[in-house]
Amino acid sequence: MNKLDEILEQLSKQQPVLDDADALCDSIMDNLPPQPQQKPRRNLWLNLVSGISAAAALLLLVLTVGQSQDFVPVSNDIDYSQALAAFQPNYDELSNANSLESALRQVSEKKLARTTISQLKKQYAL
Amino acid sequence: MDIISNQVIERCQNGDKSAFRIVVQTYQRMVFALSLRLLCDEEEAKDVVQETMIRVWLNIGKYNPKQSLRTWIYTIATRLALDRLKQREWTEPMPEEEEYFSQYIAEEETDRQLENRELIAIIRTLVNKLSPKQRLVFTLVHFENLSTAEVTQITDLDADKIKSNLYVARKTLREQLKRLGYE
Repeated sequence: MNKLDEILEQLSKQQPVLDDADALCDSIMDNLPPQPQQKPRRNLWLNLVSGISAAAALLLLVLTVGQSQDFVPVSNDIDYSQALAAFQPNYDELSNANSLESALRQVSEKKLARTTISQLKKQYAL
Repeated sequence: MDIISNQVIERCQNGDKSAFRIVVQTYQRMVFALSLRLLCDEEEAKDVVQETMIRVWLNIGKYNPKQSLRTWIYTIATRLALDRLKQREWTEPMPEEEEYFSQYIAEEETDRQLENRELIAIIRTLVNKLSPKQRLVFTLVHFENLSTAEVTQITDLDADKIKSNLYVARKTLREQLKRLGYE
């Protein structure tokens, strides 16, 4: 064993002396601040369920809105020309349309406002 | 192995000061020994004990009982002591401290219990040239007798860095011994 290891071995056996341990302990205990309040942990399961519910509600909302805009029940018996004429007499071209698709195409070609398209759809709806 | 039971820790986590007194009584000597060997100053070592125990009290709610309480307390104490070491301007050992060292080396009965001031003088003379990090690793391994795994947990240094710090520390100590005429 070399000199360094010899010294280190001897020193590792030396324990520093804390002669006033009780006083130090009392001083620590007297100076303890109040513990911070622990935030109550939210249940993981509860978080998961509320997340899924929120996502499902959002999806449902999107589907409902989309469907209400797209769903246009069309009657085969309807006289499209008459309907168009009654709805928008100023658009003479549209009164020649013989189907909803044709009327919509014409509206689109003429770059009419979107509100007009919705109104047209309403007009053809049963 | 921890001496403190999980039941005592749980009581501490619920704010029971009488349970925390048990923790302080159990670990204050350990923290004092580590801090004294690192800082070589008795009053500062006591300050570190106080600061460490207050931090333990404030953070015991976050303590995970799967981890060793001893290692957790060592980690807190080590960080506080290392901060102080880094802030401090380290002075050369006094001639009388080198004298203590020479006497200790020359003693035939080296098992006698040294007084704190003797121990401080000897350690200061020996580790004077080490950087704070080298001192920390060296102290944890050679004076606190901790395993590499424990030192890794406490210092956040990987095994290779611990090895290299120890290598440089030992080399520096040998040079210091040579300078003092002992190797």
